Amino acid sequence: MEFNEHSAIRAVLSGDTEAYRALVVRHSQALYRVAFRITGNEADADEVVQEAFLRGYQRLPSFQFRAGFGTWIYRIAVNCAFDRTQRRRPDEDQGAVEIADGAAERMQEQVADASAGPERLLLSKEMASQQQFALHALTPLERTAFLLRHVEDQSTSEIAEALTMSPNAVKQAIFRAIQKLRRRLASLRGNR
Amino acid sequence: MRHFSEEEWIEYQYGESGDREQMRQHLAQCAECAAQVAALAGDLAEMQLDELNLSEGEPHRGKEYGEKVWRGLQSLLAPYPRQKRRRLWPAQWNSGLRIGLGFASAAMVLAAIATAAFYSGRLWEQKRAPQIAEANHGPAGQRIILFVVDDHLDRSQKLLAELNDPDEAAADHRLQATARELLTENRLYRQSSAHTSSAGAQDNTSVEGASLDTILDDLEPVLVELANQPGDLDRAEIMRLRKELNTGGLLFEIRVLGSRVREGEPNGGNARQNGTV
Repeated sequence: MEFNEHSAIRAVLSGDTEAYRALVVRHSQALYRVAFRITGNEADADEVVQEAFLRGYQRLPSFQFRAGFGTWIYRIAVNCAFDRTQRRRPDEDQGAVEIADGAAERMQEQVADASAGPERLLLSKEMASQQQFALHALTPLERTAFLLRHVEDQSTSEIAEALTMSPNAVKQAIFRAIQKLRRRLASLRGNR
Repeated sequence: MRHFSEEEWIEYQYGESGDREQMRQHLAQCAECAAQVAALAGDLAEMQLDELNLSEGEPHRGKEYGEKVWRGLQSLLAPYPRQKRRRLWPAQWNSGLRIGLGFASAAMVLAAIATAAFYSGRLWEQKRAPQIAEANHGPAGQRIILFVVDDHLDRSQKLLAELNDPDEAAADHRLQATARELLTENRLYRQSSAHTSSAGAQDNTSVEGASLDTILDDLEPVLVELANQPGDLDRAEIMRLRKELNTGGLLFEIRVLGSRVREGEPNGGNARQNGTV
C-alpha cells in the first residue's frame, strides 16, 4: 500500500509523533542535497536538515493539504539554509572567496597546459569544482537564487516564496549571479 | 528597433519572459541580439551543474541518513494534543442552534411522554403490567418518566459496565458517540424528571422521582466527560475516568433502581436516599 503523506500529517497532528518519522526518512536526502548546495558545507547542511524538519513539525498545523509535503518542507529547508549563510561571519564568506580565487588561478594554469584525452576529462571535473568555488564567491542571496533557478529548476516565484522575498529581488539576484559567473568563465577562457 | 537587455534575455532563456513571442521575432531579425543570446545560452549551458558534476563535490548521504536525522530529531518533538472534532457549523450559530434543538427535543420528549401515557393507559387496562400498575401508587407523571427512561437507564448501564473492562472500552470506537447520544437524552429526562418531581413534592409523593433525579444528575458528568474527550479513548484514560467519576458506584445505583422499578417495589427510589444504595 502506498504511503500517504497527508494521512501521516493528520496522524502527527492527532498526537502520533512517530508518524513524522516516515516523512523525515522519505525527504531527508533531498533536503540534504539542496542544503549542501546552498551552504557548501557538510556540517551546516546536516544542521539545516534537522532544523528544517523541526520547523516543519512546529508549523505542521498551518500545512495546507492542497500541497505536497515534499514541496512544503523543501521550501522550509531552502529558507533555513539561506538564513544560515546570511548569519555567517563576514570572514567565513571572505574565506570562500579566497579559496575560489586561488583555485581559479590554478585552474587557469592547468587549462593553458591542457591537451586532449584523459587529461581533458580531468580538467572537465576540475572545471566543475571550479564552478562550485565560483558559486561560493557569490553573495548568499545570489548563490541561493542562482542554484534554485539554474540547478533545482525552481521558478522565480517559487524561489521568492521560499526566501520570503519579492520576485523582482530574486530576479535581480539571479541576474547578478549570472553576470559574475559569466565574467569568471570569460576570464578562464581567456587563458585557454 | 528596440534591443532587449541582458536581463531580459536571461528571463527569456529561463522561459519566464512575458513577451516571449515578440523576443523570438526580434531574434529572427537582429543578428546582434542573436549573437548575444547564443553566447548567453553557451555560458548557461557551461554553468549547468548537472547531477554528475555536482555529485563530484557533494558528500554522499545514504539511505540510512533519514533514520539518523529522525534519531536526532525525535527527542525534540513534543506530541500534538489530540484535536477536537470540527464543528459542523460556525460557532456563532451555536447558541441559536442549541436553543432550536432544545425546543425541538423538548417537544419530542413531551410527545413521547404523551404517547407513552396513552399506551400505558391502554396497557393498564389490558395487561396490568407490574411496572405500570405501580404508577397507580405514585405520581403518574413520575411513573411514566420511569417507563420512558427505563431504556435510557438500560443503555447507560451497559455503557458503564463497558467501562469496567478498559480494554473492551478502548476498542469500542462507538463509545463516545453512544455517550453523546445518551447525554442528549439524559438532559431531556433530567428536565422532565425535575419538573414532575417538583410537582409531586407538593403532595409528598415523589420519593422515586428524587432518586431518579439524583441518578440522572450523577450520570450527566460521566457522559459529559466521555462525550467530550478529544479522539478515541485509550486504556489509561478510561482507567482514569473510571476512578475520577466513580462509575462503578453509579453503575450499582442504576442497577438497583432499574431492578426495583421493574419489580414494582414501592420504595425503590427511596433506597438511595436512605443510604442503602
